[in-house]
Amino acid sequence: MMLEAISYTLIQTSFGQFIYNQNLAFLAPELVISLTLLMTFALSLAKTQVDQAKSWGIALLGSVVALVSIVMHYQLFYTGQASASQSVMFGMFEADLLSVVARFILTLGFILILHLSKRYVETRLPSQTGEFYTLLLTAFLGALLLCGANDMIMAFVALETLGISSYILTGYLRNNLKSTEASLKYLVYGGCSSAVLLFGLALIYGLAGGSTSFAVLPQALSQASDLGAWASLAIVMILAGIGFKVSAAPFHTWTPDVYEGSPTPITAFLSVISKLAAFVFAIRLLTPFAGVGNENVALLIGLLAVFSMIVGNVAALKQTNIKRLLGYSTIAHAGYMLVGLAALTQNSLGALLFYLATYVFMNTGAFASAMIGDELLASEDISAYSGLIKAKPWFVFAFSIFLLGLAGIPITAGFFAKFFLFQSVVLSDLGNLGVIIIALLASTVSLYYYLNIIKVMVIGEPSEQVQRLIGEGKDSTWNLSKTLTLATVICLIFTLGLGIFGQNGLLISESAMSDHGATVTQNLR
Amino acid sequence: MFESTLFWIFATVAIGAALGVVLAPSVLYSALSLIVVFFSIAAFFLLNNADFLATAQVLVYGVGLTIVMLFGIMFTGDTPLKEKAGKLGRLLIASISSVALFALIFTSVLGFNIKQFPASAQWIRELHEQGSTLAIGQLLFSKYVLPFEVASILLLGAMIGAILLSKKTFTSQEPGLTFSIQEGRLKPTLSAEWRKDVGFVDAEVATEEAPSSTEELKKECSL
Repeated sequence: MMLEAISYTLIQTSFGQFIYNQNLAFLAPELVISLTLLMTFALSLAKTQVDQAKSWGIALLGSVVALVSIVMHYQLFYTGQASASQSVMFGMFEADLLSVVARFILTLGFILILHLSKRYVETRLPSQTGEFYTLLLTAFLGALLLCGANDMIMAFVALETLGISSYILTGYLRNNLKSTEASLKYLVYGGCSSAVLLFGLALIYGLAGGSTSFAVLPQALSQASDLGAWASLAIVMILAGIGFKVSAAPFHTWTPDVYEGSPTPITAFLSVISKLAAFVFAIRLLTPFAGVGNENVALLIGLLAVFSMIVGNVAALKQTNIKRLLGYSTIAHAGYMLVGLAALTQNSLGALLFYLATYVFMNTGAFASAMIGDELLASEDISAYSGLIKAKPWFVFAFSIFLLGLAGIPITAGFFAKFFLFQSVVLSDLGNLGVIIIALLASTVSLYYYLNIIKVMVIGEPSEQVQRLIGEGKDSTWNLSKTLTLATVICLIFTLGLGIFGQNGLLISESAMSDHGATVTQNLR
Repeated sequence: MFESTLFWIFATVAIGAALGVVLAPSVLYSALSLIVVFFSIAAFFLLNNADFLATAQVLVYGVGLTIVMLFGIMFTGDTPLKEKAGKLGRLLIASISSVALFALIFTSVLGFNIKQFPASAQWIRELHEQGSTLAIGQLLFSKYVLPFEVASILLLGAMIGAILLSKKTFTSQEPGLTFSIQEGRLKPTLSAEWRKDVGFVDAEVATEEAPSSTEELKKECSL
């Protein structure tokens, strides 16, 4: 009663009117995250390390509140109180079901990555804890905004917020040469790709008749029947920019070095959060092309997909460093996802979103396992994992599930995600059977390097480090980070659970896509 | 006529200066030619009635960025660039893809006809009449206020990161630099911890003898 009275009074003010008219309430997660990052930044100025360590708790609290607000927003859709889509802040942000579902997955992934970071930051970067979480939250804010950005300027600013914070976080291990190298490489490649993307967006802006909104794209593109060289130039440039962000070949060259050099939680962040946000951005930007000149767009995306699958899988075969291997595996996965993007139908995009959701948990789990492995064995070499089952059977079990999921073996979510994705592409008009065959062959090749790690862990002779672990036995003073274990268990539950309840997950992501599709066709009319 | 003459003058200057950036024997000359390039591009913007863009170009690129670059060069030393021959295969791929991109841009420019895009043409006409600064200002604080605010967070993050990556980490609680008067002269002494933090390679050896003069200290600090 009291609350209602207060909100009623607030709404009467002009600022309240503004908030109400522009649907600012739907930006609640972003506002919460902004506030959180300012708080962690304030804490980073604290003198003592104990105060700084609290910033982890604040970051976690902020993301959980953001998650709750997203769930509340979803509730509105579920009960039918929200219409198909709500445009926020003069159409800069589209609060449709797609943005809600994508942000939900994103926030879950981010909470997992916070759990991954805790021990790592405490032990390796004790003096810069506050700033670490501030930058991580800034990058996350960019990713959240990218999920709903419905305007070129908004999308570009969000993309840069995500990008620039990532460049800094990549070079966070300042005494480590590899980390510095990774940061510099990422900065230079990222800056170039952003410039190319911006050039493409500027051309689209001209083609669309001086509007930066994605909403007018379908109309503008359908009017200009003969788009000519300009449109191809714009599309090539945009695809190059997106290809870099999702680390698709031939724009992948930064990936292995950056993944190997950066702090492991940041590697997980790049491979999960950045990729998910970039794909949602690609979906928003490219769906309008589904009606016009889609053969060429589909062909180009298909080419990117084929390149990525081949390069990622073949190069992963000879990797000995676990982080580098996972880096090449992300390139391969970007290829599978691009197969879904190339078809540009509602079903294939729905399946793509489901694939992204499962990928978040499988890949975060794999990186969490790599971190546990690093703590156990003090090595990132795959040969160090040899015979680990004799010392840590449960760890080997969890890691194997994640690897089987990434390989796409049944029961795990990875299988169903791949199955739904390829099925939807085969059924679509533009379904190119050749691409599907390459995708299936590539998945088969990927079995080799995923199963090889399991083979090494299970039947390999115990390595030096593992023998030391066995020798220590129960007397080991080593204690596993609780948050890291929790994150691994959650990833495990989702990797198996999304496999069992896959159909429901697919339904949600498909309805998100149909909601998005409805908005696009509505704009077309 | 006047405009096209100006355009050709600035085009020649821009291309000449751009070649200078690439071909100059020292980094300093490259940076100075880059200023010329930026200013001639600002002139292009002015010729196209983009007054705001021209001002921003001069302020941000022509002055701000190049000054920072020059400072960087002054601090790191103007070392002559070494010739580094790339691998032939890479060189081939790079040249083929850049020629292809140039061809794509060139054909699109040749095929461009503003009449195909009536809405854009309308915009351009309007901006010709009222200038762009007012329009940009109004849009920035009404329609584009959300990206504008997000950009401020982006800049905050970038600033934190820049400070973080460039600042020296101090783990020692003791004062790093102490001064004492010896033989009537001020003598600075660096503590061992401080030297280690700053990253002297020979931290152990160097602590034996403190730097004798301020010149030497300055030289070591400029790492």
